[in-house]
Amino acid sequence: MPSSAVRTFTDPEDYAAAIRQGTYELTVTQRGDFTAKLTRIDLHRLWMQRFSENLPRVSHIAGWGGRAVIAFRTRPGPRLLSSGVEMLPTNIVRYREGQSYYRLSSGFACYGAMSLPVAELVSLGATVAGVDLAPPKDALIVTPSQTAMAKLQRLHAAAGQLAEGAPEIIAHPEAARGLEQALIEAMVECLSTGETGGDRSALRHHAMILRRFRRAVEENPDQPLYIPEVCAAIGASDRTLRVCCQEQLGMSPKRYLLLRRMHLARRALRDSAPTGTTVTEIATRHGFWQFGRFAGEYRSLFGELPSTTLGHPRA
Amino acid sequence: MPGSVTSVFGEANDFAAAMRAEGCCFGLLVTGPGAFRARLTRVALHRLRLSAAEEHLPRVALVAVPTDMILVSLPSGSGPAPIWGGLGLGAGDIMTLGAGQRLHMRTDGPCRWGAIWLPTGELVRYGSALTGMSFAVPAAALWWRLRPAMMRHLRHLHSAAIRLVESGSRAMIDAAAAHGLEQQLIHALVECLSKGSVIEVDRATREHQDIAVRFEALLRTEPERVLRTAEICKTLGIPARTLRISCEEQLGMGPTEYIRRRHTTGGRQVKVS
Repeated sequence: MPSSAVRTFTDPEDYAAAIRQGTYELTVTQRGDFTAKLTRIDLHRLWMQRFSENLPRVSHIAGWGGRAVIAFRTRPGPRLLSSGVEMLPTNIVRYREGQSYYRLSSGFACYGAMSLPVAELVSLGATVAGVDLAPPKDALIVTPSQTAMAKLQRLHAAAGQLAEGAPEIIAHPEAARGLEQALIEAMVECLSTGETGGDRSALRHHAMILRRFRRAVEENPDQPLYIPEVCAAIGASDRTLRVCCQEQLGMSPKRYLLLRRMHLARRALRDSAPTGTTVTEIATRHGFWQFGRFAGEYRSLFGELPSTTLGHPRA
Repeated sequence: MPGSVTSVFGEANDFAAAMRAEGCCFGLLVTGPGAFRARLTRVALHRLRLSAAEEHLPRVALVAVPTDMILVSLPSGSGPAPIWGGLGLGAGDIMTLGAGQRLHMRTDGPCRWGAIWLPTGELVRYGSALTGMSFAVPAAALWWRLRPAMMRHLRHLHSAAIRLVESGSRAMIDAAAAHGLEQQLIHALVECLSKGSVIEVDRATREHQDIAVRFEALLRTEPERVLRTAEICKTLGIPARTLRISCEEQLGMGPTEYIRRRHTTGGRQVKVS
């Protein structure tokens, strides 16, 4: 049964949890009031999402087996990296089946995603376009013709507008089928006629290191992590890890782990009773030893002092 | 299990005993007049130990590093830093003394110092992981000049932990806090030892350091007897002039004066265990 939903969020964690593919972690990297809009449309076999976020952030997206996933920008804007490659208004990222990856934005970002069952896309590629559309072994950048790209973006936007203004049309099976057909055709045209990116062996190696890095983070969901133990665990030097993170996350691992510790500290401050603990104890527990600097960074990231968060625990 | 303590001492013997409890042999001889006063703060993390001291009287001591540890000495606070092996420690410098090594540490008046003790194996392990190469920990005493940002970071980490203990905070007994501090200190030290520049120490000073250590060891073989300079020189195989220069440089006084003080300071003198 086709369906759609449009939701707006002010809490990054709620937003991350609502994304269909499952974003394990979303870290906002700049101060401000976070707002995001998520449009989710499930047609018969084609699923799509539209995203709009106002603040820079880095997120990790979980792999999705069985479906062929693509993503592209729906509006131009500041730098947007996905799996270490830059998403431009003129290109599409095709992900490997089950691929987990990082997505990094450096400001206001609008982008969309579409997915079809792998078998369905392979069959369509063979019958409609005469090309092999099996998911790539690694994420690929595809640059379709301007016309094909514009068509896909237009149809994707139209579906988003319907979800917002006339969701009953999407819910109607026949109307949904028509929309789905048009979108699938546009998708196949883009993927079958577009030019694909060149050599990505270095990126592949870096992606492997990032996967190990990610695993180390996931195995310690509530623990602050530090560079020495991470380097020892994943078998990559500080320098190599820095290059990989800069490429895929747009920041050094030190900065990434610091932001992560900052978010863990915020969670601990929210979950603590103000009488039972102090900001200093929580700060040191999360590796912050310069308290003035911690308070300054915390404030610039979350818009309030740590003592304010501790004084107002989450209900 | 992390733990920490700050102690104030009115007796040199007690101060030296506290240092010995840290795992390093520590002979200490007060060399100036006045009432002895010192404050020592010790922080035991999981594998690393930190210490910081504030002393008011000049003294000389022999520091011996345990066979599985490395000692990193760094300036603490403002004011004069200790003199290690006859060489002062600049505000941007650290000194490392490897496993099993001995060296004299002297102060010429009120002094503050900080130290980090860490297992050599840990430093090698993390040093190799961070640099991606085999990481050798120097055994000999080395003086390092660090980039200002590196030095600031190392001093911040050290002094923040010491300040917390001195202020009575519970933070330093928290296992997660101790782990985090330890990781950050290891990272900072690996950076220092892989990117800092080693300050050249001339051959003569190295020889004098070695002579002073051997001289001290000889005195300890017969603690009750007053050895004569000629006898000492003969045993050590060096001319009297070399012995005198070495002692003045390393101990802050000539050999005769040093021997005399060892015997006359009575209760103040602390024998190396």
